[in-house]
Amino acid sequence: MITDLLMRVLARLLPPLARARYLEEWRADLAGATDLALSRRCVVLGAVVLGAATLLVTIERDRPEHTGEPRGALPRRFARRGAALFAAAFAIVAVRWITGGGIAPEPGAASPAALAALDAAGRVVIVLAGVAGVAGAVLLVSAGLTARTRLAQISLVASVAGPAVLVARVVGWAESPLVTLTGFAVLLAGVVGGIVVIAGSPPITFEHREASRRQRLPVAAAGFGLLAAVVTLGAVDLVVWNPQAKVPGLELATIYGLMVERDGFDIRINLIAVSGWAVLWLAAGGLVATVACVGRMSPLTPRRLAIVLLGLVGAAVFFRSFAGFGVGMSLADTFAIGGGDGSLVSAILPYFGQFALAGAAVALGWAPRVVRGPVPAAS
Amino acid sequence: MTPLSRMTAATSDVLRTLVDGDGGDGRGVWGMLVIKRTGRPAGSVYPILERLEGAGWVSSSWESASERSGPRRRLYELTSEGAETARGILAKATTSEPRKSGHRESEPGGSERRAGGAPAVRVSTDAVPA
Repeated sequence: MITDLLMRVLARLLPPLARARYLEEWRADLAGATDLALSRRCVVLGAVVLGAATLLVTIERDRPEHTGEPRGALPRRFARRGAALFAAAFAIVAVRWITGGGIAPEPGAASPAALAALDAAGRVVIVLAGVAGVAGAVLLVSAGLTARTRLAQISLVASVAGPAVLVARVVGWAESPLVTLTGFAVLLAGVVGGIVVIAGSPPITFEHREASRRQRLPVAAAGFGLLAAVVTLGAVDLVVWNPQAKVPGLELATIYGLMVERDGFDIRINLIAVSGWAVLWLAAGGLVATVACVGRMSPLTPRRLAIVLLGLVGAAVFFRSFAGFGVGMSLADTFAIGGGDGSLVSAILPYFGQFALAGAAVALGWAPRVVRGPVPAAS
Repeated sequence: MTPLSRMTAATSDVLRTLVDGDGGDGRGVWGMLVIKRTGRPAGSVYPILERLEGAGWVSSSWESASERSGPRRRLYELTSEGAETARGILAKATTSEPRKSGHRESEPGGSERRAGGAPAVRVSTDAVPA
């Protein structure tokens, strides 16, 4: 009973089309052991289970008969997903870096509980980025192992050795600047080799997938709703909440009056910049949502819609800082304060932006596997 | 058929078993029979059979469903090209064997052989589950 359960678990870890075959084969081998007068049954049982476990490591996972796909599709999928997780981790870390470790609201602009929640969220975000990076590395290593081509294996070694050399330089094990150069060169070689493996045989094609309107509408509505909320809150924050947070105690009209008087602030131009930013992203999102509503069937599958709409949310949040640059600088010059954002909404929006970009990257990498049934191996 | 990247003693034993004959029904040998005849542990035999099949040396098929109740045995047999190449390799190994020191180096976790070349059935004790 336990042996059979163990064999079933081991079979689940095999490539999809090999599972049923090997499970039945192992069961038959065990059942037939007595026919061969193999009396030490417990040893035989153990041997078969160990054999099954060994097979998990040694089996050629990219064999077309096991995957139902052309050779090369599995390592490419691993590499694509690994790269997607790396991109997600990079998006999170990059936004944290751009915002100087996260925007801290001005004193009085947020309650102590909100400040504590923001602080905790900042730590969680970094942990998530680390987990995504490690998972991405595991998938990239899996890509190199399953590809079994010389180029893939060299790329894998280079992708591991390059960062290892850089780490050695950072921690001080190697002092020469040549070490840094070597590390980057080896890493670059690994990345280039990996890209060649990903783009190599079989050729990349746009898989024909379709989704019904019923499948598309919820994603289109949710995505556009999120974008509209982010853009509306972001725009109001730029011209109302953030100035009030930066200069507490003054009426909004007074704040702008002083900005015009002391700094020559042009309200009209800055309102155009902020509203132009809002209209641009709302129009882009509206266009995508409208296209998603057209036609009974459409190649805009929920995943593809999510990629586009999340990408728009991430981009809108990123470019918001440019739209509000004039207001922020004038606030700084007029009141002799820092030019960075200081409201609670300003602190929260980057989280939406980085998770939207990370989500778009992961959705882009997680294209569904196309199962076509056993494919004969090339002779 | 693609050439094997390495030819270990265990692979030779499996090939010899496949060349020597079927399981009595004329349609190949099943995994446990290979394990018994080679005296190699299942941890070696299953991966070797998988590797040989992937390289096109061996083909496998299910025994016919009516032969026995329960799970079907997977029967392995050499392809025509695989059989020809395997015989060549084994013949070469046989002619070079007398020149060696007279004893066979056993692989880690592998089996011993009786005098006279008949494989002794011994499943490695390493394979006993905890």
